[in-house]
Amino acid sequence: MKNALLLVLSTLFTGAVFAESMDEGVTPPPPPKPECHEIVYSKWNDLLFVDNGDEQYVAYQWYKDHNLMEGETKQYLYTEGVVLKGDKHIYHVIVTKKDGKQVMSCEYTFEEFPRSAEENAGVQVRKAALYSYTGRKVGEWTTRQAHVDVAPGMYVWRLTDTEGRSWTEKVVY
Amino acid sequence: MKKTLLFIVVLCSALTARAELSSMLELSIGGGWSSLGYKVSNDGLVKGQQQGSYGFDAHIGYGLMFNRYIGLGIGADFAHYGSTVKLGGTAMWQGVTDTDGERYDHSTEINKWKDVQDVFMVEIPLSVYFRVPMAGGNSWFSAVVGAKVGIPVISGAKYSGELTHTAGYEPWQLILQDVRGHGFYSSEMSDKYSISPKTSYAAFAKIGLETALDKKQRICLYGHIYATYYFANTLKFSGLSKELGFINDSKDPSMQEAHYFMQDYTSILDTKLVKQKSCPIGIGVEIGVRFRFPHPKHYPCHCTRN
Repeated sequence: MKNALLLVLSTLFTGAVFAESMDEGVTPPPPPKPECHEIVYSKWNDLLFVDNGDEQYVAYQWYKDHNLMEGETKQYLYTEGVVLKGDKHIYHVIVTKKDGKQVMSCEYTFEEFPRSAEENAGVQVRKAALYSYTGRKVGEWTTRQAHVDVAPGMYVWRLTDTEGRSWTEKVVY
Repeated sequence: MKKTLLFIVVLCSALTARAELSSMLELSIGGGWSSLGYKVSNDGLVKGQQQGSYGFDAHIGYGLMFNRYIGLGIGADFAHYGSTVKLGGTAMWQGVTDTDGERYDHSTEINKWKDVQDVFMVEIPLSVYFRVPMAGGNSWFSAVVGAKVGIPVISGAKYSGELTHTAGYEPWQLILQDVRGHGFYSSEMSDKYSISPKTSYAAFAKIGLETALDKKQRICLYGHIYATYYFANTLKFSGLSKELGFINDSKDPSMQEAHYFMQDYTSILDTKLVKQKSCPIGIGVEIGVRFRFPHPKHYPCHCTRN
């Protein structure tokens, strides 16, 4: 049996609002940044990885504070005993695609992410991806609302804010 | 049983009626291949192979030859039977949850894995000897068949090997390796364990050549190929039939927590890869020496020896 759910993404995380709803600002737009791709995610408190779900990336080079990290050429960045969460550094990765073209990820700051509703106020969710508990990607959205048919069960939201920070939320529908 | 005993008594009486009785002391040592005789199967991508082990058999025996051709004997052997199981391949656990709460596929690559069991037995053989003279009269075709009881006196077992744990996250096409803090690491694992062999029963056969070393044919050198097969189950199995697992490859509780879905490895014999029946086998070559002692002839009192 499937349920048709109206997913109000901005309520997934208390106080979170989508970036596109914030475009009525009074300050001038920031200077354009080089195009980047939201492909870096975090696990635990010490590991960053590249989402290669489309299997299009074949090589990786990680950077820390815009400096090349010697030897860090795996799909993930991990050093035993080194906790990244809260280290205030900026990470990004340049990946090489199958066709030889290179793509730069958006910068990732592995900060301790606020968890309380009060602290979450003002968080701007830019992207939300829904996974089944078996790891199957159900869909990905950048809009404020979306319809999706899901079977009852446990799911995982992977949310990305405008700063490129990602986190997961487990939910039951 | 009574009929069998009666048959043996009658046979011995018949053989000794016109016998040229002689006694025989024999000493031999042999070596070859042995196996504890259990079967190992594959499990998914894990290949299991039972390769046996070395075997040896030291023997001392007493024989009573009824004539030049046939005799009965009893003795004592000290023999070794062993097995070596080699494992290789990749054990998989699909859809398990990591310590971050996400589902993934856990793989454990198994390399250089050996699980070795050794059993030393004292064996009591009951033998029937056959000898057939060959051309020249100084050599014989020699055969021995019989049954023996095997009593285990020493046993031991150990395993060792290398493991590499990796994680596969299908949605991201991500393989994690050397992420030690979260359960994905390489390790070497080894330990000793005990096994419980029990007294069992075997049949054996030997065939070869015997040649005299002296003119009176009192001292003979012989060589046999031999085979021994135990009919009854010789190892006591735990009956666990566990899934293959290596949770105990790390003493770190957090690693064991990360590998909560695995069984511990205690012995290949405790896993479902092994069919729980063990009938040891030994085959090899032995060389030995026999000393013959003819019994003095007794003549009826009314006869006069010329």
